[in-house]
Amino acid sequence: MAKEKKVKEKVALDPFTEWAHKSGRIFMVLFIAYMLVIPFIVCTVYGCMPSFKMCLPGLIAITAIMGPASIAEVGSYTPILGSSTYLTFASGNVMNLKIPCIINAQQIAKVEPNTVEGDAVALIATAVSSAVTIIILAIGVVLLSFIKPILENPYVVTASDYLLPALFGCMALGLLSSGNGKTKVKNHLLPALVPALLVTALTVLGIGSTGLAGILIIVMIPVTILCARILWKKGIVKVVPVEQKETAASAQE
Amino acid sequence: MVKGSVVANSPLLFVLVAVGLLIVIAYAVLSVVKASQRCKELGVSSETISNVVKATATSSIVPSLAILLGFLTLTVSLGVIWPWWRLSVIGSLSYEAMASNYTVDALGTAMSEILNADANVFGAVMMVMSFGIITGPIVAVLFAKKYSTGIMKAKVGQSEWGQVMSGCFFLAMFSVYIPILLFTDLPTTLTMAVSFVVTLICGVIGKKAKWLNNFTMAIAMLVAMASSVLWVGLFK
Repeated sequence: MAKEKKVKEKVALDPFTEWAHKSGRIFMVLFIAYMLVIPFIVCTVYGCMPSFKMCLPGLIAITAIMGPASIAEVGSYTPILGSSTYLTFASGNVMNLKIPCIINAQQIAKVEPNTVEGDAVALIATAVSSAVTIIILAIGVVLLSFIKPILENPYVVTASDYLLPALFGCMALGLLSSGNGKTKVKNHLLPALVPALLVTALTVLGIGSTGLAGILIIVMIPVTILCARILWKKGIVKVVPVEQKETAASAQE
Repeated sequence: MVKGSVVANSPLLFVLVAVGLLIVIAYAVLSVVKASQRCKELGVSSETISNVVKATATSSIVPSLAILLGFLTLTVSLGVIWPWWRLSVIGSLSYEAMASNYTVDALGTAMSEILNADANVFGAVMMVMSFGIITGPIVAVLFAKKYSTGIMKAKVGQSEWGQVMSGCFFLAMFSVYIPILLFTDLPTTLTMAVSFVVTLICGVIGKKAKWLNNFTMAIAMLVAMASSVLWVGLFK
């Protein structure tokens, strides 16, 4: 019986989703192994292997800070990243690059997140943005002396500090859209009201900051789901068919 | 004594980093091919996929330039090759700076001395940076599939609650970031507002000039970030 259930679950997964997760996990394991082996090879060849004692204090300090934050990041962003989670966490820059690119790509393709199409589009966006970053940095390495004065210009430095609000400004508009398909969620923003008020209070009190965002999101996910559940049970948040006019207009677009 | 700079600028490290980057690019290319095929099978047109690629590529340029700036910062203390690897893939400026600072602090030296010190200091920095970041990737390997496909199944099941719930993850993310960015300081708020307004304007123009839709995010980011210089000048 349990075996049958397991087989049914496997059948329900789209072949692409199955492939994307399987290949992603293999890629991630190979990537972690390769990343860890680089310092060992270099230190062995140059005879400069540090002792365990030399590495331990730094390792404890960074893991104590980054460990919980990394776990929170995986918990917070995996539902949005889908099968592109592996490539995203291998290539980094989750919030300042991958998530905005995925949201933008899904809006352009008019596909819903957490569907097979949405997942495939998310993987395309993640792969393209990872490749662009790698290429730009490679160009940066080659043209280092030329680009250094441009990037170190005080105006450019100031502007680069404001990347995150610039990204969220463009993504916020997509938040107003309640669905890309045949149905939409009525009053879809209401479940975010309580978490937004809580975070506002924390920010005003000086506790909330972008550095803590990963941890705050993991806390706010159950709060948002709970609010959505209550509002859905009361019939305030509900799924309604998109009116024909709207569908035609979006098809034309 | 072998100095840190010898290892940091070594051809061996360069080759290892280049091979690592090629592995990531190879998987990225394979992913695009496979995902595009599946999209086409599901009725997403080639034109739409091409638009997604173009829009993603253009919107990735500005954030990548910001990462390039972080790379330049790290080159001062770690040479060119190692920061190139770390910031091209898994790392970030803040993480790398923290990891290297903790390591050199414990060894009683300074960031500015890494390249001139004994090479095992540079070795320790590489080790700490590499091992200190693996928690997230390991958690992803272990749990991401079950987590992500579980939500997908709830949504694909077309249950009304599944559809409502799957939107909650986006809402939770926005409900955290928007208030933080709104109430941090005035330049941050105004930069976000400019980006929102530019996106809105591009959306209106994009109804007639459809090509613009692929560049909306890149344009909004550039204009908003440029405006931040003005806001900082006025209000900070």
